Order: sequence, then C-alpha cells, then structure tokens
Amino acid sequence: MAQEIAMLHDISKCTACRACMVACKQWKNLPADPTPFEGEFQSHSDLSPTTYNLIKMKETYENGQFRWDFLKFQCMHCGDPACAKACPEDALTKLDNGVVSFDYDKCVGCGYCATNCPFGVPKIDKTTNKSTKCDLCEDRIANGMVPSCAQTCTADAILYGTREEMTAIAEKRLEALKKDYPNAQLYGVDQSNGVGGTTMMYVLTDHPSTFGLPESPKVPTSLAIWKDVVQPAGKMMLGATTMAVVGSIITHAMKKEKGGAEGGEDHEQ
Amino acid sequence: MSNRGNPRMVKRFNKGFIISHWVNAGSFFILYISALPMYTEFFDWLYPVFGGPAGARLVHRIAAVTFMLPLPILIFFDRQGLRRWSKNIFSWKKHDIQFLIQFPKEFFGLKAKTPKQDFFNGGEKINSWLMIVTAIMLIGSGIVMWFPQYFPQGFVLWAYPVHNVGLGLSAAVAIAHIYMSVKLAKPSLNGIFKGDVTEKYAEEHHGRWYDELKEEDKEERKLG
Repeated sequence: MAQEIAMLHDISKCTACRACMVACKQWKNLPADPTPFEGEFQSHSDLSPTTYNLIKMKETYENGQFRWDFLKFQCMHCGDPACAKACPEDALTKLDNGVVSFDYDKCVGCGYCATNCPFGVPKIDKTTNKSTKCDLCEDRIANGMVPSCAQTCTADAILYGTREEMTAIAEKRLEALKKDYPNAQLYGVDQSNGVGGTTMMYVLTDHPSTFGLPESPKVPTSLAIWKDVVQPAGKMMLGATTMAVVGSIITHAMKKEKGGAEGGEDHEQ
Repeated sequence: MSNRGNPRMVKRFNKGFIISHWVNAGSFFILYISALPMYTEFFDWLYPVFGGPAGARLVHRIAAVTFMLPLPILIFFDRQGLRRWSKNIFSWKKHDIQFLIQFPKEFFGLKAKTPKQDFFNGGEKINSWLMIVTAIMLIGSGIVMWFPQYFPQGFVLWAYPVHNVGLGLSAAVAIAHIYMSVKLAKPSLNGIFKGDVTEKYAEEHHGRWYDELKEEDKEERKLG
C-alpha cells in the first residue's frame, strides 16, 4: 500500500501572495481567467474550469478592526469522496495515497460530481464537456516531486509530505496558535468526519465558516440513498422482471408441447 | 376455434389514443437507450452511436420533450378516450382484484379463472397507474436536473435518486407490458396499431366492456 500523503495549508502563515495560483496555472498549462475588478482584493470569485487553485481573501470588519482571512481553496481530496461515488463512469477514483484522481478520457461531463461535492469544487468545462479539478499534481507526486503550489509557496504556508508528518506539524502549530487564537482548530485531519477526513488539511485560526468552509461537511444523504439503496434495488427489479418473463416463456412453451389440443385458454390464434 | 375469412371487429381505440400511445412508447425507448451508457458501463458502446456523450444528452433532451406530449395529445385529439381511460382506472371492483389474484397463473400458463373485465382489465389499470406515477417522477425530477440553476440545492440532489426510482419502476413495467401484449394477448396488438380488435378478443378479455357494447347495439336497434 502506498504511503498516504497530505497537504497542509497553515493559514496563519499565508500572505495571499497568490504565487501558488500562478504555479498551478503554469504546471497545468491553464490560461488566465480575466476577471473584473469587484472593489476588493479577491481575484476570482470561485474555482473555474481553468482555475483549480484559488486564494480566497475574505474581508471582515469587526469591533472597529479590519481583518483579512486567507484560504487556499481547491479539491479537498476527501477520504470518502462524494464525487467518486456519484460519478457514473468511474472517472473519479480515490487512490491509496489519498489523491482523488481524475481520468479525463472516462469523463462524459454529466456534472454529477459538481452537484454532489460538499465543497462545490468540480467545475464542468462547457467547451470540452469534461469535469475539472485539482489532482494534487498526481504526475509530480508519482515522480517524487512536490505539488507545484507547495513547491512555490514563499511563506512555507503550504506544506506537503506524509500524512503523519503533516498531522504532527499541524498539531504543533495549533498548540502555538491557541494562545492568540482561542478558536484555532485543525480541518480535515480528523478522519472520522462526514467525508472521512481530507488529504488537503488546514490549520485554521478561527471556525471553518469564517473562511467559507462547511463546519461539518458530509456526503449528501440523497447520494447514499441513490447509490446504496435505489440503484441496487432497481437492478434487482429489472432482473426479477426479466426472470419472470423468461419463466413465462418457458412455462408457455412447455404447455404447448404437452398438448395444444386443450389450448382453449390460449388466446393466440 | 377457427375464424377464417373476416372476423368481426369492434372499435377499441381512436387515432388520438393510438398516436398518444406510440409517442409515449417511442420517447420512452429513446430516453432509455440514450441514458443506458451512463447507467452502466456495459453499454458504453452506445455513446458513439449518438455521436459521443454530448450527443446522447441532446437526444435525451429532445426525447424528454416528446415524452411530455402524450397527455396534451389526448386532451386535444381524443378527449373521449381520455375520459374513458381515467374513469376506468379510478374504478376498482371485485373483478379487478380477482384479475390480479388470478394473473400469476395466467402469466405462467396455468389454468386461471379470471372474471369478466372492464375496457381496461385489473392489470392494465395497475399498469396505467404505475405509468402515470413514474412519468410524473421522471418528468418532475428531469426538469430539475435539466435546469438546476432554478432550484434549491436540496431539490437537485434528490432529483437524481427520484429519477432513478422512476427509471427502475417504469422499465420493469414496460418490459412486462410489451411482453404481455406481444406474447400473451396478441390480438390486442391490432387494437393499438389499427384501432379495432376482434369481437372474440373483446369477449374473452374484456367481457364487461363487450356486454356494454352489446347493450348499446340492442338499444340502437330498438331505436332504429
């Protein structure tokens, strides 16, 4: 079994320089998304088919003080990925190392992943009819390299390594931060949450909702019912109907063979 | 037994009813086929037939629109047939229940004691109801899936399992319906293709309706 890896964003260290966004575009060969000026420092309002990694800059004015909350936002690589469960083509798969891998050729662009993702990450590219999202630089990882965003981070806010290493660092940071930030907490580290933990982990200085993250993300109930109850039941029902028809054909054929003379009941002429 | 020459025919369905039925059947088949490759990988080879996944989606949406037409067709072109059908499927009597009890025997070729049936027999009534319910499920959830931007997130999420339940039920109903018409009640096919059925079929399969017809005939003769 492959070594489980993780990425850690320590938001207390992030300066929102957005070098990670550029590095992502560069490695993934993605064009720039021209965005209008909205009167704030936020560049793009959301992820897009050509933006897999986004620094969210939330501006808060509280108790006479202005505050910026930065968050590196991209695919969370859930332990129990709803997108992969929803995908009818097996284009999304959870790898042993923790990456939620995406197979471009298998994708048909149905958008089920986008609808069911608890974080609203996958975006459908209308021109190629394919889903898009961060794959944690799967190709770089496979060759012993660090994902391009982590590689380029100037503030050491984005770290990459084994899950144990990252968890240890995160816990240490949390302890240090607790003094100044009473609400500081880790996000995604706990693998017993509604999405089975995330490979993209965070050290947060406040509640997740402050940064636009769901407090308790979970795989949608409708998805579990659809995939675990409805679909197997539907297949069973189709099977049962087919068996009944086959059974009927056989019994009618047998009856005919026995003696067509008494076939008053038979309505065929 | 033999009905050489021209068997006597009785009128069963009007043109509007027949067209409505086949628009429904055709749309359902195209919808089913164009969704199949996404439902199971076993049918992935169907994608190229539609010119790729995007083509399959387009076909599915066109057929989705025609799938909504059968009721308007009935309303505009065969109100009489619609009235008879709706009246029939709301009427549940002893002979309908009896039909359902006897049905498994007939289905598997055993001797069945089925009482005289209405214009639509107990099985056809169940078939009608399942078809109506599944069509509402499929169309309702389908619209939500087609235009998710106009609906709340919860609606969109639940539309998928609902669409799936509708598919499973309606496909099972369709298989049974087609099989029975083609194999077990062949003379009925003429009714849904050309509009009339043999008097013998009417008498054997829809006795209560046949009796009504005879009553009407007598009264007409009396008047004449």
